[in-house]
Amino acid sequence: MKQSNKKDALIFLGPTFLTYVLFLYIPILFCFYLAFTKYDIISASEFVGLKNFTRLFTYSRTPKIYANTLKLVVMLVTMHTVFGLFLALLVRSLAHGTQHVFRFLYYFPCILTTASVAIAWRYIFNKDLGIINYFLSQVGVDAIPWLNDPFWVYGTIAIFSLWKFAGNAFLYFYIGLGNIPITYYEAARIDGANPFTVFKHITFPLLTPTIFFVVLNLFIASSQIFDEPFFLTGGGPGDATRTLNLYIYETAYREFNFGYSSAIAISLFVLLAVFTLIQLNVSKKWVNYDY
Amino acid sequence: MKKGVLIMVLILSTCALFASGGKEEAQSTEDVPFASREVTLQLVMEGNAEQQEWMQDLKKDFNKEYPNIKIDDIWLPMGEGGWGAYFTKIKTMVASGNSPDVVRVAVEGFQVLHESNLALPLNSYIEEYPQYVENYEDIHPRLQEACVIDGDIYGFGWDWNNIVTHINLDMLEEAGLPFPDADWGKDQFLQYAKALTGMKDGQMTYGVYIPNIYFSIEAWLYNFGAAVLSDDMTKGALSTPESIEAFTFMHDLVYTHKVAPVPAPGDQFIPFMTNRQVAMTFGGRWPVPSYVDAGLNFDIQYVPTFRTNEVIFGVGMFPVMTSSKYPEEAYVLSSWLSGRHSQNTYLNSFSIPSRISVMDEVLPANPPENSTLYRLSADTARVVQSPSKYPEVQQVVDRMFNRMMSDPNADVKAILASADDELNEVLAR
Repeated sequence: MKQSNKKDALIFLGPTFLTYVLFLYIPILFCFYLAFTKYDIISASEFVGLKNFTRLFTYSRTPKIYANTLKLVVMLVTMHTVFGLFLALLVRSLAHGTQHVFRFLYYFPCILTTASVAIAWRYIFNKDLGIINYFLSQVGVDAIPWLNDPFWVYGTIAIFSLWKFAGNAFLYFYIGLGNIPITYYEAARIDGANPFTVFKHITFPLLTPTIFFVVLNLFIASSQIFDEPFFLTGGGPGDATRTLNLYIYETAYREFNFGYSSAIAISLFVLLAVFTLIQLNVSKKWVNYDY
Repeated sequence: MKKGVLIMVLILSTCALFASGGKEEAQSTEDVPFASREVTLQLVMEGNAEQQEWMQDLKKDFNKEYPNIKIDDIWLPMGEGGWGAYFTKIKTMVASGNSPDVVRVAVEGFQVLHESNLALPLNSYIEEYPQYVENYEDIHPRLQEACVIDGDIYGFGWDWNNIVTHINLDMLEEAGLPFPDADWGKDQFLQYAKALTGMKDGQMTYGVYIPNIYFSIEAWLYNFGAAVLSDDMTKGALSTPESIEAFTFMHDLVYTHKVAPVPAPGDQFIPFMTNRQVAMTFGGRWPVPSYVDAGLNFDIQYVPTFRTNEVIFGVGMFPVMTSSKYPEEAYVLSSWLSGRHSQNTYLNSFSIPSRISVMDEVLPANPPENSTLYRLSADTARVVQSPSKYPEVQQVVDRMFNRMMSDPNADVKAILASADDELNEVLAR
């Protein structure tokens, strides 16, 4: 690289790099330090060794919270991927003008504030006074405990999450589908391939980079899920939907136990890093970048 | 007990000081050394847009008297986490080096501030500059008692709230029920709840919405002769026989008698009342503006006497922060805000003024008809239990309650025992 190019690169990348260092890397390093301390943000931190990690791995509520997070990750990644792809295929099959309308409709909930819509949905889901159960009762269905049953509450989160965020996966798939060269489809049509064969041999293989991108992003986002349990269920009933991020928030900003919350955050960080590395390695076997 | 007597003696002696001519001997407000010092104080408040507007009027009035003290009001949203979340935000402001001078807190957060040495005792300022305190005796002594720890006065009672029964009068009339007497008990309450439950125009209406927030849950516990914590607030007391009876009764109202909807986490009862989906619920004065706006025909009565009758209360005040650079001016503001003018201007609808004279003026002039009940209940009210670990205690209670009320087959006794274990762990930490 020429000297002047190096200088240009430094000028353009420097501010962004500095921002990352200040607001991401330093806080992450600080979080590692805090995990070994007792710190309530008012008093000075005190070194406590592995005490926070011992509490994390011996506390009776911890396994449940990890399991909840894992359940939500599996559920949401699968549902958003399948539903997003289905919507994208559906919209791509429409006339060009109509596609704009549906693109807007499906993406619209993504731009709404989660807190405000989640509170409205909480009333909609109310077991005895909510509107969904009212309509179900009109067709003879018993009231569903949407927010009060450890099983149903996952369905509630899934419905809300799909309504609110499916537009994101949809948009990625919609763009990904648009990037597949049309010549492949024309050749398949000439060869008399049916829609299923076209999807299996052209669309899916050529969409794998997008699928991988969407799955990886969904995995990271749903591992850090916070809004849905916080606003819809409060982590309940009991601890039924308490996730790691919600637990981190509660220990940090309710208990003011920043050392312990940092230890939980580090455990999440390690889990995410390990799973992401596994996914990156596995992806080499199924993601097709050659077209 | 001894401590309580000592506190009362100190309060009364302070009152006596003000009443017996301390004011005459004091300097006038123009003579004090800080009278002309130009300062800007940060005041942290919580409230809605309407309350923010009222505050702007109050600021103007304050500046007419004290043009040298500017107020920079910062409004923190209460949010989903209630008072616990609000105090958390204040603590975060302090930790980030942006400490306010004066904060509005309810008693639930006062201990949090006190334990962290964030609240300044005002005794020395009161002694030195008593001219700034307006008729201390007028603040209801029982309410003011909650602003004092070990004889140190940390603020002046400004507003307060209690828990009473809110009753939809139209639904009561339709069910052919008379308005209950002040001493109504468990059986009559259950009879009312049953009579008020049923289908109307294809929609289910419930007799009662059971308490689902810490404040109202503890209000019920008090009337069952129980409490969330032991009297010295060092241990959980949820698994006492009285408490088990209280929670079993709440659970039965939902699942056995089917007169109450299942409370969902974070539910606000106000929309259910204004939509006429429930006939009775439990709150203080804060829902009154919403009821009035919705045209609800309602009135209030004491929480039924389940075993005893002990009205719960929480009081709000304006402590001065220890980190304030201008404690004298902050004291002036704190004191002024608890005055008659401030209470009359700001507290005529959503909260109860703490001054006896303002209560006597404001309450009878505003809905509901039985508003003077708020004033009467102050005489015998008992403060809500608020240890310094209040945000965590509140979390444990919320989680326990939510778990219990979500399960039709909940083992109430076992859940309360496990909640007590958790409370003990939190309080010992």
